[in-house]
Amino acid sequence: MMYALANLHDSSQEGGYVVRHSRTATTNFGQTAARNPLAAAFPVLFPYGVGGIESERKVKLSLREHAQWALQYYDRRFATHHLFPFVLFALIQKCEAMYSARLQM
Amino acid sequence: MASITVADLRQAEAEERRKEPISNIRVRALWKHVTAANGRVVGSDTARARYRGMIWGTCLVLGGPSLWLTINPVDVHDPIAQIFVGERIDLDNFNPHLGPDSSHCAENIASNPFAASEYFNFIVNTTLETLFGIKKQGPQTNSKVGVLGPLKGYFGVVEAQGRGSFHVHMLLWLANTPNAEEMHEKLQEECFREQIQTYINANVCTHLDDLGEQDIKSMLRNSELPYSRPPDPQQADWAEKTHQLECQLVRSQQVHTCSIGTCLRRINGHFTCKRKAPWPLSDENYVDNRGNWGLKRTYGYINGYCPLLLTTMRCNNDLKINTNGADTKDVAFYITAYATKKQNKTHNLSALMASAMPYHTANLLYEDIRERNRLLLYRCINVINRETELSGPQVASYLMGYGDTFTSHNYAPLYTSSLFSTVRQELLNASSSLESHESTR
Repeated sequence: MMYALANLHDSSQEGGYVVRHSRTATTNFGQTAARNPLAAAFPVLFPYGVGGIESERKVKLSLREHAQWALQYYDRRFATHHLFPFVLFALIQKCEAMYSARLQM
Repeated sequence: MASITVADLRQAEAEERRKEPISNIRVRALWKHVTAANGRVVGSDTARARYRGMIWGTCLVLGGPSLWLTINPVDVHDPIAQIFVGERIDLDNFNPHLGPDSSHCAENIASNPFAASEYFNFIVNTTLETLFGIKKQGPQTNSKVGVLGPLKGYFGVVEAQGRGSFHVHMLLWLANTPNAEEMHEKLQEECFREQIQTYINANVCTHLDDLGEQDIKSMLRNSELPYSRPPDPQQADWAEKTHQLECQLVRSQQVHTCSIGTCLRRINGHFTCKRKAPWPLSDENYVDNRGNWGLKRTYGYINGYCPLLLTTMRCNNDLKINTNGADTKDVAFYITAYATKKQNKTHNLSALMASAMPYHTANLLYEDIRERNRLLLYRCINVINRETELSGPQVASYLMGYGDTFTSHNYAPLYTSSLFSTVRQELLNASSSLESHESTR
């Protein structure tokens, strides 16, 4: 309903979109209550939206290990994706920056 | 630190542009914290600057490095790289006319940066192990005599070219080398100089007898010399084949061609090559008593190379021998100064931090001042790191944990500031107890 209203009020020449982005930003990190959005952001790579990075699973899998698994996956869809490795790397950089940003006296 | 304003950072930016020290003490504190924290973030320029400390530490333990080597594997033409992409190629009975053609190979590599980084990591480690006879296994480094003699250690820093492929600059430590002082003394002896000359003759080359300037100009450049297996030494025509191959490779890989886009810089109105080509010609090899050395060179545009490395890996390489400390220092700074070329955006850190500041002051999340400062640090680091340009293979190799170095040793940081403060405290205690002792006497 909200999307439909937003499309009605569209003043640009783009036409309407079936799905629009939410009005609140989502968090990058999976450790908090919110889920890591990578599985939802790349439907080509995660066709069923499950098994995403940092999602709930029985055996704990770190971000880095999961990244390495993805790059070595047999059909090379993660390795040859034009964006996915960069997004993952940026995520790891941000995580590390978050851990190491502290004040030293 | 919470009181830093955008104006403070703008002032620091101007100072940094003038290459002056930053006057504002709060900005200096922010700087210090940002660089300290960023050193722990993978792929940042600050993390790279830490390699200087590692090279320095290795020099303290092993003495000065004896060799400086650059290897520049050709990933787009090497069939081994195609195997990593997933092409089926029979390397034992290799036929260059079968299989993917060169544009298809290049496409394969460009679309799969992960394979490019795997290939590079594999080829450099294999070269170290098979040609140089040095292998790192966990915490241990085993070495036997390789083509460059017995090695004690290596430290290689990976750089990316403009098109994203890798090359590695490597410092090599030979076993049983004299230290700088002994070297200086020994260089005065004729027999020692002759020994160095024999070594140079065997390993570095800038000249081939039947490859003069005219031959090079008439020969066609063939960049597709793809098969990475040297001629079979068991066969009778090995020497001849190797020599032919070497000529071909020197023509294709080691001849420097100046052009305006790459190396020519305008100095005093006329163009000069920044690599200083054409290099000085010489009729014979020499080593003088100050450690300067040179090679027979009859055509000024052939870059020095290691013959065995050239015929085995079929790629551009450059080997230099260090005889004094000043060279070592220059090399160490050169290879740790940047991760990729052309990173002009990250030159002025204060400017970047200034761009993060308005957002920070507009979005104050925490009441607690320490948390707020932490967030400021985090935002500054992010704004710096997001400006660095990284190529696909670099990202893949960071993700896979290969990093951007090849090291023979493991390094552990030593936090000297707390050590020094403890020592200082102990000294103060000792001197005060000494004084009290004196006064009671």
